[in-house]
Amino acid sequence: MDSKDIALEVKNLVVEYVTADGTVHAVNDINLTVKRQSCMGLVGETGAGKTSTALAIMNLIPSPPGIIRRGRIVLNGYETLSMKDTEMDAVRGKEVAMIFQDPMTALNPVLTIGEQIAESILMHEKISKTEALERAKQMLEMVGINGNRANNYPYQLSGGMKQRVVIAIALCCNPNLLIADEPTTALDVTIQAQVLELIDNLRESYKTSMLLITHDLGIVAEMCDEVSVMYAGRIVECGTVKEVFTDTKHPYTEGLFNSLPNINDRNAQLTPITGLVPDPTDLPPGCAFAPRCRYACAECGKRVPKDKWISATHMVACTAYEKPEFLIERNKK
Amino acid sequence: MIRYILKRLLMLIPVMIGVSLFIFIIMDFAPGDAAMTALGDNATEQQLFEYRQERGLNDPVFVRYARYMLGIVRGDLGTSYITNRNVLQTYLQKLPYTLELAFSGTLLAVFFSIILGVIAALRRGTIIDSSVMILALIGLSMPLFWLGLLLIICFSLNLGLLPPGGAEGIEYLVLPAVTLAVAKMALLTRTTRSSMLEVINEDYIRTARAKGVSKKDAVRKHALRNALIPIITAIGIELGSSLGGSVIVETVFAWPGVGRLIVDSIGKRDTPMVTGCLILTTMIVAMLLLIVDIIYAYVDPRIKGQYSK
Ligand SMILES: Nc1ncnc2c1ncn2[C@@H]1O[C@H](COP(=O)(O)OP(=O)(O)OP(=O)(O)O)[C@@H](O)[C@H]1O
Ligand SMILES: [Mg+2]
Repeated sequence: MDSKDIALEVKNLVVEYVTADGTVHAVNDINLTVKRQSCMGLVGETGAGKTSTALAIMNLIPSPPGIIRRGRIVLNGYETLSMKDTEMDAVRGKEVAMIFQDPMTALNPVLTIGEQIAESILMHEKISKTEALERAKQMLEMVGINGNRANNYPYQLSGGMKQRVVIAIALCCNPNLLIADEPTTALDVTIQAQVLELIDNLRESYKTSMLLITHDLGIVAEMCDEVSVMYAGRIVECGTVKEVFTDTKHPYTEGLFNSLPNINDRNAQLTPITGLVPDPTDLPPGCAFAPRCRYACAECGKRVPKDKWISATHMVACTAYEKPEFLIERNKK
Repeated sequence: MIRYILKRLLMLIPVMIGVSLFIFIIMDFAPGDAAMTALGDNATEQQLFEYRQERGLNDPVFVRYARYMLGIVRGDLGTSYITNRNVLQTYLQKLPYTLELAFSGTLLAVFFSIILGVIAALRRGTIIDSSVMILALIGLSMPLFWLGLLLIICFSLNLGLLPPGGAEGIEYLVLPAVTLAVAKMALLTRTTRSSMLEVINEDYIRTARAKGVSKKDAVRKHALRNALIPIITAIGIELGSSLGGSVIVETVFAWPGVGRLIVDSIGKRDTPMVTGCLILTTMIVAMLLLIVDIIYAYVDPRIKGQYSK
């Protein structure tokens, strides 16, 4: 693939948090590629390391306790991890922008929303403050908030409106890559759909590439072109949405699908994945999913599974596939 | 906002009644009385009786209280049992000294605490942070009179740079103000640090950084203003606590402020003087807290929103 077609490339990224209770291995050697103008979904349970991955891309891992141990991140051609602080400040907001998980706390309570959007524009463009405030109003209209509310403070807005403001902040400088970290988790179900649609429309019109973090496979099916499944800091399966949804390979991905309610069969029992997410300070030596995996064998606990490419886009990291005849239940019928 | 201020002022009335009643009763329970302190051990029963009769001290405590309150309604805070001087005048004569000491001590403390607190928060967990915190702890646990005496020994007796006591000019203010400031810095530095630490990890600081705001500007433009509310509260408390007079500092440095006046008057069982001084102090502190509340509204729009409701 031509490097011009790639918005983001993450290579061998390792993120750790060094705390008094031990080292949290949040992200363990992951690779991730977001193609230009496409949407990559990143799914996984809570604690899988999704937010840590996103923050590493922004080069905003809180330090201490966090540290990017290893890896390369190439953002639209920029090697961000080796950049100086001032260079990185110029990249944030302009090349890559982020929508955060919790809109309730993401806005500064003592500044008006207009000021907060304008600040971002002023960071990256040489225009006057009045012009920036004018642009901020236009941005507000764009995300569906009346422009004359620019003088409002965050406490005067509902949760959904706050998230719209956060989206306006993220998109006001027309970034190449938008990272949306569970943008709707904290919102009402009715508002979730509206906000997702807004993001999707804006992304389309701005031609922005996107990394969409979620634990909702429904959202992935609706919004994404490709998806990566993350478990305990590793990508266990990735591919186009079609490949991963119809030709599921990894037992963990299968588990995720089985724990979704089935609309066609309301009486069917939900089958949640048994067991608990492993302690990130003390990961099992081999495959981190092995202790919960119904197909696990002795080999799985011994070494970290290698990436196996099924097609040019579909990858699975599971030791069982070293036996060519292996199939998960879902694929047997 | 105006309505809020009026409401707060009205709420002062029951507080005043409570404070004065409490003082009258407590002073009545205390052994000895004004007549005994004024006339000394050699006074005869007859002399004591006459002294009391003149000032109405033979009446029951509630009668005396009622008489005093009637005076207050007319704007008269009473007359000292001992010196026969007007309470309000005596208080007003001492007040400027107390204000001078309270404000200079607090300002000094605020200036250094905010700088030290912010630095400690930003350098959290480093040697700088621990040294600041240890200094604050020492300031908190050091007895004030001891620090005062130490400063007198060092700067007055040994170096001869500053006067050891009295209040005849600006140079007399230095040592008491520094002593008071050290005591106040302990709380203010800790408050600044912890409030800054709390804010610095807030999501909106991360949002600001994600926009491309530099680390320094994130602290200056986003964190500090949000950290200000607890700091302003602490400043208000510190200032308020010394508006009633800083008894220890005033005593060590022979500073003629309200604190010493009150303590002396308690010793002499001079009930009108004690009550009058405390009522006036309560009023001043209440005003101060009201001003602090109004400042909140300017720092934090959420609070302003509540007032207008
Ligand atoms: N500042 C931190 N200090 C210590 N540990 C942290 C810190 N931030 C995250 N972690 C740990 O790193 C691991 C990954 O966290 P992360 O927030 O990346 O997960 P996530 O996939 O985003 O989860 P969620 O769905 O709950 O948002 C977790 O075990 C978490 O406890
Ligand atoms: Mg997260």
